[in-house]
Amino acid sequence: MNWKSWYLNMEINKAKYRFSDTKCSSCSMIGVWRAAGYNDKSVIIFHSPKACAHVTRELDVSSFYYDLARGCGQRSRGILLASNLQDQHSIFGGEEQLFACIEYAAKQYQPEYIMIANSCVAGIIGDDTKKVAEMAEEQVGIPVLTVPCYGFLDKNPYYAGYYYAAYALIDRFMTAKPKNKNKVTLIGDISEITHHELARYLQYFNLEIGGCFPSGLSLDKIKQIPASAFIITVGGKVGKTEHLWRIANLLATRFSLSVLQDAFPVGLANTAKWLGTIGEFLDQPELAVQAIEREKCYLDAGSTVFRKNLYHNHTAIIIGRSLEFFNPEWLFEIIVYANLRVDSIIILNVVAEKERDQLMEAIKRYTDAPIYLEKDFSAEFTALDFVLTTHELKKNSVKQFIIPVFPPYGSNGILRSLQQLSELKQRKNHIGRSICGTF
Amino acid sequence: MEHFENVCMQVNSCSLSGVAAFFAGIPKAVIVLNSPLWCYYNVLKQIEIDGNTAQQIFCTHLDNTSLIYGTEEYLLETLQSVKKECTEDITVLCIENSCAVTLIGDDIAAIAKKAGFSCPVICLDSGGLKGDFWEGYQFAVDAYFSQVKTAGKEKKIPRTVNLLGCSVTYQNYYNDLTELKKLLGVLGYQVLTCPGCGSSVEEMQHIGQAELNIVLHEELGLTLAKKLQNDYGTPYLNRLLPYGIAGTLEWLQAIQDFFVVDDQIEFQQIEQVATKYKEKAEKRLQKLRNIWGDLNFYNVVVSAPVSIALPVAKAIKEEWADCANVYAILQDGKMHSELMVPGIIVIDGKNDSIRIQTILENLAGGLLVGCSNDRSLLLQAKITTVVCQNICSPNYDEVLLSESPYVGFQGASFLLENLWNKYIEMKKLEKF
Repeated sequence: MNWKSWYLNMEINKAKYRFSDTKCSSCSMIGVWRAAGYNDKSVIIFHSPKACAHVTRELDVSSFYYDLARGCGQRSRGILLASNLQDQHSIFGGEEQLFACIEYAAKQYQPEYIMIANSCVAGIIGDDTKKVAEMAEEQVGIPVLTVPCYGFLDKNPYYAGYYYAAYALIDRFMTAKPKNKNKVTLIGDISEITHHELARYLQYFNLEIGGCFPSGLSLDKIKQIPASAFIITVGGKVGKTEHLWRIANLLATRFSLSVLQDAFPVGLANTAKWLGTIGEFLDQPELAVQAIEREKCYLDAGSTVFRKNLYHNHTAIIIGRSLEFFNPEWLFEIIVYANLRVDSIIILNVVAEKERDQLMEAIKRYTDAPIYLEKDFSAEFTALDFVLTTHELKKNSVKQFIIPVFPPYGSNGILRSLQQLSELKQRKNHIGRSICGTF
Repeated sequence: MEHFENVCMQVNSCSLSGVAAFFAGIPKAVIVLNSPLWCYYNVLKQIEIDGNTAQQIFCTHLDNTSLIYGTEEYLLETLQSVKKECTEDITVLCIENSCAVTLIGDDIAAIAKKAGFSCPVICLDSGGLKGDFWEGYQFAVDAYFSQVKTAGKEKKIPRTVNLLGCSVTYQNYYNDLTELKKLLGVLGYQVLTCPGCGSSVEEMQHIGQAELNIVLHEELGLTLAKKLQNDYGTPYLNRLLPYGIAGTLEWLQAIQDFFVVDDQIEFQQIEQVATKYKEKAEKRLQKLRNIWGDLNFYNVVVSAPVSIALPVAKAIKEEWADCANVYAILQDGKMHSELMVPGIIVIDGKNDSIRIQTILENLAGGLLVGCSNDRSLLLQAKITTVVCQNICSPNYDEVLLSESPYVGFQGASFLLENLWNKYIEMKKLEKF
């Protein structure tokens, strides 16, 4: 099959969903919920139509089962209310409504604190949430926190909501504490699996995780964060860690805490680098050397079968994300480690023109494979075992490995990716479909 | 007094999704969401069940600039994409505003006119400020039948019906609809249209030809039934959906009664089929009953929209299981339905989350017929000894591949079979 017919057969030009990553694609309220929700002793109020809270809940339900399928899913469901903004509030304002909602939350749940997230609607109608929160707090006698974000109206709304929720918790509840030299605080929005992986690494240095701030922590644990030996930022992804760094640096400045934020244990090199950084930081480089060696053995032993199965398999890479959301280093490490043959690379039209050159330059650092723009391809292909793609392709018969926005962490993350590729290869041709490269 | 609720106990969505759900059920319809991308994702998540709806739905990708300078540029650009990408003739184009856009007051009808589409273009404000999923569906129905021309009052075709209130987002809708059409066919009735669930724009033009409108899901279709009665003089029938064997017979009998059919031979045939299903179940269950006892639950919770919750609760109580308390959580909060069933404890799913939490926390050893949201609440409360069956969306933990319906005689067998198998599995786990 030549390249063109293969391409058309895949309907690559009909990537299933129409979106580009250059436009705002999230909401600050979700960021607030992810940062401060999942706690039975706090209440999050969306100053919004009720539907916004329903949408958030629905996302949580699917995410609950996703975690459950991976042996996790222990997180509390939390308490999420909405101030139920309706049409009439766009004329008369929704401040009274919000006040009533805070009163209800305080009376019904007696929470340790209440946090308010603003919707785009609240932003447009111009409600003074901060003032309402101050008045309500005086009345109900429970801390009522706010964030200066409004739905999708902010720059990088999810991260803005996440940061300001964390900021509010730090500002309101944390005070200096004597340090506990064995406890480390993680900063990030990470899964339980990643949490376990990092806990395993920290054990090499006789450290344990005190908590992962801010998500899901009880107020007691939040108050203990300043007692940490040091802080490690671990969440986020390439180019999207700024909000976590800001949280870490805020904690560092206020409570004289050291912060490790240079590398992330994503991929082989970075995992080693990450362990090395901890060794250097603790002035115990020999422990880092041992840890790196043990992880290498662990990875080699665990990956033998997968690498054998994947040896010299043919693939193509299809990229529809800018570098902000695509990590070529991680992808090509996997490709090299698994000995895959990359026949071609295609940049989808959804990547903005101004970002294409940058993306192509970054890719060329790792491979000599020909790179095509979606609109002007010309190469010839014979057969592919599977494609590695950022966008799910419409054609079901093509085996697709969906390149994750958040590559899985550490040695187990690499093993998981190799296992998935191996499973994908063995999948019967007629099943096709995609496999998502996350944990 | 304003109600505030912990939404974690509830199942609902935005009217943006409700509107999209109706139009997604019309062949070759295109939906443009004049909204931020976030709202688009969530609508897709709700609407796309069989993986083929995404190509029908476009988004203007609004950002904060658009709320200052208006959405015209974004909308026109998206409408050009629609023209470019939709090579087949579009039958109807729906443009719906999210809540933020509603507030800035763009005249989207005027903007859409500039794009020059030849098909009917329906523009409406939607989003959370306007209402929830079920309300959104009704906004769409209302807008469609007010703005798209129909053939008007036409001569009625004998023994024809429309099925109202169906949605492609309802779990197992296709199998259920197929089964209902089959049952009606046995009695000699022809289904003319199912608005929002597969009927084309052309078919819906002749919606007035049916002798009777049958409301399947009242939370979606009752308003349309009343409108059609008013506009075309078509009477409607709103009965409990045919879950269980007795429920199916009652539903069919109600239709027969409407048409005042003298010839009872056809209905006797139906009754004979019902008896066969009943006897088969009795015989096959006898042996298992000797081993496992009767299907017995102290508490039963059915959580679904009103049109599903009430008849399923009734079938469980009167036909499928022995139980002390049967609760029906009406996710859509339709507490004034005319279809209330005596003996079923009805709970307002939109306004009584505290009670819902209490009931679920006391469900150990019981039966839950609902959705993945309810099940996640049980699991998060560490209650694992509950027999669970998903019957509505969202569904993340049960696979549905067969062509078995939930309604009708076949549906009764399918659900009863599932309940028994899950009950036996639960009993086995209890022993170990």
